Amino acid sequence: MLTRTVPALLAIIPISMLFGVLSAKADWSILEVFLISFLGFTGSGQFAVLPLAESGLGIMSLFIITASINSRYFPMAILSANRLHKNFFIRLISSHTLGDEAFVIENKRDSSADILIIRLIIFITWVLSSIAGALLVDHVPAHWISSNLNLGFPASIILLYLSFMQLSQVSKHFYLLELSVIIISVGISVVSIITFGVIYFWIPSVIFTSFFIYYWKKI
Amino acid sequence: MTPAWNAILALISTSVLVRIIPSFLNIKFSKKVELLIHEIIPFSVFINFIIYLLFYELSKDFYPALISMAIGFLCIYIFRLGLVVSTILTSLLYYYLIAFCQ
Repeated sequence: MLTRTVPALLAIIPISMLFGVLSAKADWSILEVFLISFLGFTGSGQFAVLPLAESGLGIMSLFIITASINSRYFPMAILSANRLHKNFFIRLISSHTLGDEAFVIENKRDSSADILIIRLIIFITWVLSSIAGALLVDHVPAHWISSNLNLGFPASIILLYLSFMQLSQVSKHFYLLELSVIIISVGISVVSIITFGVIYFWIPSVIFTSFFIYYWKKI
Repeated sequence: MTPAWNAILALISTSVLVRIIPSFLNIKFSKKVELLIHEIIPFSVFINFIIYLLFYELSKDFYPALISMAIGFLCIYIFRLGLVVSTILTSLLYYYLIAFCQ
């Protein structure tokens, strides 16, 4: 389990530290950095709200934006719900700590305890790294931050790899490996992104793709 | 309320809406819906997730991302270098290409 989790940890540490640095640069206190990583816990959402909140955007607008960005968690949460522990508080913790990395690392054979451990390791690493970033803000050269370096690239590579692994597991049993189905599904996803944009395409695209595969199977 | 607290409240509300509530939904599904939930939706989610990641990276730095990801694919699937080594090599190439393009 650790073998699966460590590569993702190595990839998220610099991203989370960058968030800590940027929020400290925006004069957020260590407590605020801790709370947003602990209670918010979402890479893209945290990076999105930082400048928007600083520009004076209201809480409802922020909520609509973050809910749109994080709408991908909705199908992920439904899919993994029956593997979570029955105890209310453990389920609460497991559900809040669901992230992209955990979702692609977990598999059907994992117990509810395994899922909780995977999610907690990633969650705690994320929170501690953001605090470390905020504490180290004075030691980070200014040009590192101003150069807009895409620190998320290694994480994307790992997420892509793990997603391909999961996809091959999901589809290894049956018809789904057919190339035509994959090509049309990719087409639906691409058209959805072009139509609705990268933030809003999630829900419609997952619905369209699912119905296409469902009716394709019936035929 | 400070901007930071607005952001914190927005994100915790979002977490409740998109992660916590769906995890507590306890609905008995028909066989058709079971098929959708256990076989078809996971496939759709991962396909969309892959396309999302590709779009996201290509939209930032098209050629460096495209070349690095192609090399990464070769490292992982053809040369079997392992995930960590392949990610390090791919990332170094990506950052080198970005510096080179600038």
